[in-house]
Amino acid sequence: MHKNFSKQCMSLNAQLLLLIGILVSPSCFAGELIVSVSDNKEQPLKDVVITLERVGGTNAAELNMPVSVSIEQIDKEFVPAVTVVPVGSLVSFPNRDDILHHVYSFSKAKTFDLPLYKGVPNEPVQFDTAGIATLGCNIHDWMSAHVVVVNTPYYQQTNDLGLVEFKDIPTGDYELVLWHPRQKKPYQESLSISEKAIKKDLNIRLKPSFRSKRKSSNSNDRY
Amino acid sequence: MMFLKLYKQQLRWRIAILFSALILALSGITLLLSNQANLANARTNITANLSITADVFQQLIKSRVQSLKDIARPATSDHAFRQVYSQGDIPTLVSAMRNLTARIKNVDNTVMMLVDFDNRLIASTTELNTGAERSWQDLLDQAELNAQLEADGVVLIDNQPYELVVTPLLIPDPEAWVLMGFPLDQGFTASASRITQSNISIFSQPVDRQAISLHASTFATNGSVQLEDSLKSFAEHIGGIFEVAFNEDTYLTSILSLNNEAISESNQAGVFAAIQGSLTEELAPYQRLNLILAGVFLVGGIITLLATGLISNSITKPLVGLSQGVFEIGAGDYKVRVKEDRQDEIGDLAKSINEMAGNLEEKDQIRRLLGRSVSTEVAEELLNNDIQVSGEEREVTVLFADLRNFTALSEALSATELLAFLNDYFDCLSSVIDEFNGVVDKYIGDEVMAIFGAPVRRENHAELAVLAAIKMQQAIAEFKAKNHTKWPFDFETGIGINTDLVVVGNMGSKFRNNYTVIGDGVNVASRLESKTKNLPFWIIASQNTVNAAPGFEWQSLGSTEIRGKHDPVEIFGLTAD
Repeated sequence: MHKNFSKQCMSLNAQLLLLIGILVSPSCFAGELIVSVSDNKEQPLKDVVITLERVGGTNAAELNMPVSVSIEQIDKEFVPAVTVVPVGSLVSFPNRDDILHHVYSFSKAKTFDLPLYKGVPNEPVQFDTAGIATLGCNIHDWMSAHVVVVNTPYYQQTNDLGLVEFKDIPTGDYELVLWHPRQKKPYQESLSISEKAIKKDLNIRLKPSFRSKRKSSNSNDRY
Repeated sequence: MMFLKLYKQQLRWRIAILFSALILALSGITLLLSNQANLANARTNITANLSITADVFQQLIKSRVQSLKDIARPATSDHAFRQVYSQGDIPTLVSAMRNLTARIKNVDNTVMMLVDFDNRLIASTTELNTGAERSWQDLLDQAELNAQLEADGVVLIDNQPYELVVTPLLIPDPEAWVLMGFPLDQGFTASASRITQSNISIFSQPVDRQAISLHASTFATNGSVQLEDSLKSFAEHIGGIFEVAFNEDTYLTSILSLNNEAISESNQAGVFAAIQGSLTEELAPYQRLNLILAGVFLVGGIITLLATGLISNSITKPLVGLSQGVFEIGAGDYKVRVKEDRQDEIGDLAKSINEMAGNLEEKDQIRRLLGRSVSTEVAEELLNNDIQVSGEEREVTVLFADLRNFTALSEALSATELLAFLNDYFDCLSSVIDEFNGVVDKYIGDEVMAIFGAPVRRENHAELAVLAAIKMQQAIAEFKAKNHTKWPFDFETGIGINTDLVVVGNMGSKFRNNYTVIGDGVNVASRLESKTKNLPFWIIASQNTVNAAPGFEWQSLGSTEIRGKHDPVEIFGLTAD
């Protein structure tokens, strides 16, 4: 599972980097930003989505091409739990379990309903509005995943050390937006990118971890 | 008054009243003790019941809270509900919420509210005043700290206590707070009371901890002010049992704090339940028992009165008979006999009374018989001193008095006249003999024989005999003077006196006997009396008598032959006293 997840992320990053390389870097000056994120307990926080949105809007030429990704249902969990895609991307929801799932989202970013199904649904879901889509399974309360739909080419997720590194960002004014499923309050910060590398240490407060109780399938425990 | 009279005069009434009073007093003490024991028992029972009721009451709230949670969790995860919420259609949302609350069968008047994470009201199934959300802020804070984002507790919403359950709305992440609850109102206290069989009231105290306000109670509403007053000092008794007087009854009261936190540490209004047990109700069966007991005791008292009356009657009735018998015996009727139909002590008493009456009758007969020959005094003395009348040798003085000229008299008088004269004459002599404590032994024709010193012992029997002889002579002189017209003739009386050892006692056959003396001494006295015919002395005595009664003047008349005596005997004539 973890292997799949890493592989997927890597392939996505590789594509993004390739796009940035082709479209932006030859024509502009570029800066560098390193962001380190820690939580309430000063521990590095991974899977934090950090986006940089250019003030005044991103021109169409800079935007990433929509992608096609999968969020699988394996052992009654969504894999991966957090997915970042550019606006207009297609997300498929293959069901790898031998039981049915009913995937839905009532989020403003994307409302959809995939009533009980097995295998791979015929059509992927297109996420055409920027924002956070919270996904659930109607018959498994604990199953939860998030799709972060971004409207910028500059987005990354922190690694195990809680670090992201943006390179070759065109100089200019940006809004740094930070998102984590458990963040207590939205975080946004204005930022000027110059040729000089910037290092930011961010500390965010998290809500206590909450998960609907999952009934164990192979134990005598109640859940 | 009549009662007192009966009490004083009749033993049976006294016994009956005494026993009844004793039974009633014992019954009274028993009732009193039983009353005290019942009161203590009632308090113990109520205390135990209150403790159980408090547990049941809390369990009842818990079970209702559980029902709310059980419906709230799936409800908030309901797909359609999530969809309605996400679409932001408030009228539909409220309608869906009402639909959900209707599914809860065992909780009445369920309310449901939806607020966002900033506690702004999104939708509610009930009308709320502005700012009502503040009342449950503490609960939301508690829920936020809970792993399942859940909390429950009692809050005052628009001055009405509610038990509220907080759960998150999951889509599938927590998106809002769902609050479900039920009011702790009349309906709730009524159903709690039906289950616990106790009086339950819900009241609150504002943050200032001054007055209290009653929200619901199983007591009639017109007692609410009184009830509020009676519960004023509740704060000192939380966790304990205290007594309040209210509604003309005493209630043992237990206070439950329904707030989650200790009320002293909270800045919220305190909500409490007062669970009360009525002492009167608890005592009601005992009162009935006491009433029955009192009735039993009263009947027991009456039965005792009658029974002891009957028993004492069975004692006193024969006593009345005995008393009547004794009274009659006392009045001199010695022939009276009381009934001896009992084997008990009364029977013994009757027997004794009859024996006594028999003895009295016998003595009376003796007295009457004796009375003819001895004086009443001698007869009394004889009866009183238990004289031996069997034979005995004793020194006595025997006196013989003989009427001179009897032959001439008997020729001059008719037999009837003679008998009348003799009776008068013997009356005269007998009264003198009586006077000197002598006993007339017998009358022999015109002769009378008297004994002195028997049957009653007299030391001076000789002197008494001599004095009697002298008095006889005087009495005869007076008799002659007095009866000169009736008996117009002259007569004399010769008297012989002898003192000697003789045998005294009852003599005769077993059918007929009399007390008399026998012996030579008797004969000597008779002979001495005969001597008066030939000697100029009317009173002649033997040497023995003269020796025994020396205080008189005697003249020796020399020795003389006495018939029946071998040797001559010296005799004396009385010259003067």
